[in-house]
Amino acid sequence: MRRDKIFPYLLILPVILYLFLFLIYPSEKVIELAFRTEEGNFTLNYFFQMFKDSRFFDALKYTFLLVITIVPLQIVTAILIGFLVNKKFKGSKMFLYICAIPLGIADLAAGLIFLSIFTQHGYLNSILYYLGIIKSPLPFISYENTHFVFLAILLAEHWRATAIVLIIIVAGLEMISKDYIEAAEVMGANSFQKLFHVILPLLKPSIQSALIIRTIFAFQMFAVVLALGGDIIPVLAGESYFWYYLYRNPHIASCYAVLIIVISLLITGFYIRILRTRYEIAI
Amino acid sequence: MAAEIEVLNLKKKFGRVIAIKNINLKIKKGEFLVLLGPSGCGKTTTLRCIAGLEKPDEGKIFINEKDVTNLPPSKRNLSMVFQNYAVFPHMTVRKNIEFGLRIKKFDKEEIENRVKKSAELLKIDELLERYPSQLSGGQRQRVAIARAIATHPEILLLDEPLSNLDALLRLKMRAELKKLHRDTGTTTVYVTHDQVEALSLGDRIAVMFDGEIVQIDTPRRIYDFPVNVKVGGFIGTPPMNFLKAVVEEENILIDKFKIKINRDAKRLKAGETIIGIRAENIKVYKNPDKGDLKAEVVVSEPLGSNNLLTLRIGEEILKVITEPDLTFKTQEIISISFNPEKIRFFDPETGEATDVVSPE
Amino acid sequence: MNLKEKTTFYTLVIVILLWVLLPLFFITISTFTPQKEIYAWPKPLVPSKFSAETLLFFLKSHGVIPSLLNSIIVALLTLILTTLISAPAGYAITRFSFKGKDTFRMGILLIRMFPVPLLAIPLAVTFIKWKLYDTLIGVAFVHTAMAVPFAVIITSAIFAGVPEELEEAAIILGCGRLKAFLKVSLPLALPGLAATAMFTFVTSWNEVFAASILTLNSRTLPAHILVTLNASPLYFRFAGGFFMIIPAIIFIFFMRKYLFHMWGIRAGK
Ligand SMILES: Nc1ncnc2c1ncn2[C@@H]1O[C@H](COP(=O)(O)OP(=O)(O)OP(=O)(O)O)[C@@H](O)[C@H]1O
Ligand SMILES: [Mg+2]
Repeated sequence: MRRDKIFPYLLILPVILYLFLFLIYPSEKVIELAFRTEEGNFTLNYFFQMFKDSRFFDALKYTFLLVITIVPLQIVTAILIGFLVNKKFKGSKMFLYICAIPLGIADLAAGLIFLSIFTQHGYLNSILYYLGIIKSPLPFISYENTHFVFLAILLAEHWRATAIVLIIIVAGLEMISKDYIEAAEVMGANSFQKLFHVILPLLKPSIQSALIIRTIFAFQMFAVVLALGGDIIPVLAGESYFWYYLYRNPHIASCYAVLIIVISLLITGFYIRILRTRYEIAI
Repeated sequence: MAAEIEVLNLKKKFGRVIAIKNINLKIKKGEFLVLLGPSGCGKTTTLRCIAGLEKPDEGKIFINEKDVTNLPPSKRNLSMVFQNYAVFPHMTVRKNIEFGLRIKKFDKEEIENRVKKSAELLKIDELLERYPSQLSGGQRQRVAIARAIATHPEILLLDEPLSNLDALLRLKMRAELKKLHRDTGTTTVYVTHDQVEALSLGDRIAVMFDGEIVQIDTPRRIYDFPVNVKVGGFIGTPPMNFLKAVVEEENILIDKFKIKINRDAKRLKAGETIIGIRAENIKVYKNPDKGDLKAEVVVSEPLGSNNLLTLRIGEEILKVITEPDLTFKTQEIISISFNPEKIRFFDPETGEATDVVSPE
Repeated sequence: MNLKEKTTFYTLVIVILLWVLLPLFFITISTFTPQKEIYAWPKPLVPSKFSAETLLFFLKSHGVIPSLLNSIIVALLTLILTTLISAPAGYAITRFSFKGKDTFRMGILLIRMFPVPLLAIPLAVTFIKWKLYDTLIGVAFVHTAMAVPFAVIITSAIFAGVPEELEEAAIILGCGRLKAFLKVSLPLALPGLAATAMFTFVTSWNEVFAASILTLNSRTLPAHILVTLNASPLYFRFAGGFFMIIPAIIFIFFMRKYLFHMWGIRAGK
């Protein structure tokens, strides 16, 4: 590796300047918008307004509910698929690529895809009809049916974002030497013991990384929710969007943004502590 | 077509690691010099400093008496063969060999000529249109060398070029490298940690330890007259034997045995010393009373052309080479004699040679 | 594996394939179903005839073609900006050792998780002042901020795959630093860099929050679909969803060798 006094700094300078301009600077602005009146005085009024809004606690509740249901579900699914891929059967590479397709799919697109299934005119109703379970279509997505809307959102996001977790898990599995597993086998471990005493502990760093990265991104969930449920299920990022786009209030929109950023930073802080021990496989 | 190299007070640190403490080295025109030393002693760093890939912290490098310390590699008229060959994977063998010539803007005819010549010299003229991925390790090695000599460098630098080849191929390439050097006469600096390679290839060997050259001499003399215990212990298979001994009057005392020597010729001081003796300079007698010293057989390993005996005298272990048809049992008591001419003496504190080394 | 285990295993594989592929199948089918049949009851699982009607309706709808073009332009701008900014940094991380490198790397790894799209809200206010509001380059600027940390990490992994020795060999053979890079490292890194560019393109193509906040008339495709969501018929939304996933599928095809680089991990082999 080369040593050079200034050249490497010149190479990273554009990144630093760019992120300063489009990350640090607007971060400061968003705080200003959330905490300062038009006249420039410090205020907590915008936050009080946000708290007082009838949808705020619902948004908070649903965001957390979605995060704590989707993320574990994704991890379990990804581990399951990861094990299948790791068996290295004929076509396992192809299988992995296919499972990775949702990786490139937008949240908005995923919402629309699942809309084609769950809408009243969707495929789910037709399938249920052909199976003889229902006679007339059920309105899955409606204000009366928030539980089902929630479920649809959950399934859509689970479908879309499991691929990322899968990639992290597969990489983690690849790094586990077959020797450990074989050693366990030689010592007479059954499949269950192998899984819980050998593979999962060795996979822990990958799982942690996936957990954290997914948690942070799940707090920004927005387009899936809008595409499937419109405003039936409020979420934090969605509220931020509505306040800016519909009610033209950048201050309260900023309050939501600040809230999401703070939550993300807290999780990131937690992440750093874990990362310290596992510097290289930083996900 | 060959240059001389002079390295003066070279020093190089990587952060806190001192890679080269202080190196002085003079390489003659057309010489084949081997840099030999254990892993991490700074051989590669020295070579890279000569090449210009690494900038020394202190010191100067001269090529043909011209100070090149601050010149880029391209202005030094040298070539280098890397440990992992560094053959460009996205170019055919021909394009690889042409690469340097094109950069140096030779005309078409000359390029073609030289590619042909160097390919023929390395017997890869059949492979010119192939890509490196279609070549074996040995063939890639040849391409790397052909590419290096095609530019007709004044200096050829090689960094452990054979270390990735299997044992047989290594032997073959070693002979070919020697012939290549004879044919081209290019000043060559060759880095290796394999002492057999060094002994067989070098006009001279520079032995390095911990970022310093401790001895630089012909292979024969490095083998026979190591300047210290470390060099003696590093070179030779098996390495030199070292035994604690005491010099008194006309004798040296090993354990409780006496050996007669001509003390004056070696101008030895009386007192404690370490003697060094190579395995082949020890004579073995089955009869325990015939030799100067009694020894106990620890292991006897047949090596084909001869036997390697491990012996014990008191606390000390000794490796000896014998005829293949002499067989020994474990714990058998035998006797040995040293060829007194071949005994070397070292200071027990510093490990430096103390006897007078005969002039070159 | 015995027969029973084998059956369970392949059943699982098939179930998962269906889980991944069926939704894609449905959205594709929807797009090629005649409009009337979309609302039919019961709806056939395979349309009575394949028709481009829905697709054409979508493409002819007001604002779709311009937003499609906008999306492509924004994604290309993002790709160019991101590559220009990140590739040198990725190269610096793998090829140089310098003070503060670890801090920089760590910073990039963490910034990658920053919710950048939300910054569109303050930036919308700033962009009005800077005359960037409702411009494609403005959107591309925010998308670039999202993509840069990822691109730096991927590029550094890609350059790490090109041995430094090769560049040094070129230098010894007479190249300068720049020439050695252009003749050796760049061509060898090119497929990887192309995959990175593809990744950047898709990141921008998929982004909707910032794109809808920062534009009014020059909307990207996702922004257009999102904003008109409530006012548009189902078949419009389905065709929109279908259109949005096309680059994703191409992307996975091209990225497949580099899937693991994306998250800064080098796979086992
Ligand atoms: N780029 C570098 N950064 C930091 N330390 C280095 C670097 N290059 C070499 N070193 C250190 O300098 C010392 C000498 O290294 P060098 O590569 O010259 O050894 P060597 O004799 O060639 O060893 P080997 O036989 O293993 O190749 C080693 O301790 C090594 O760790
Ligand atoms: Mg070396």
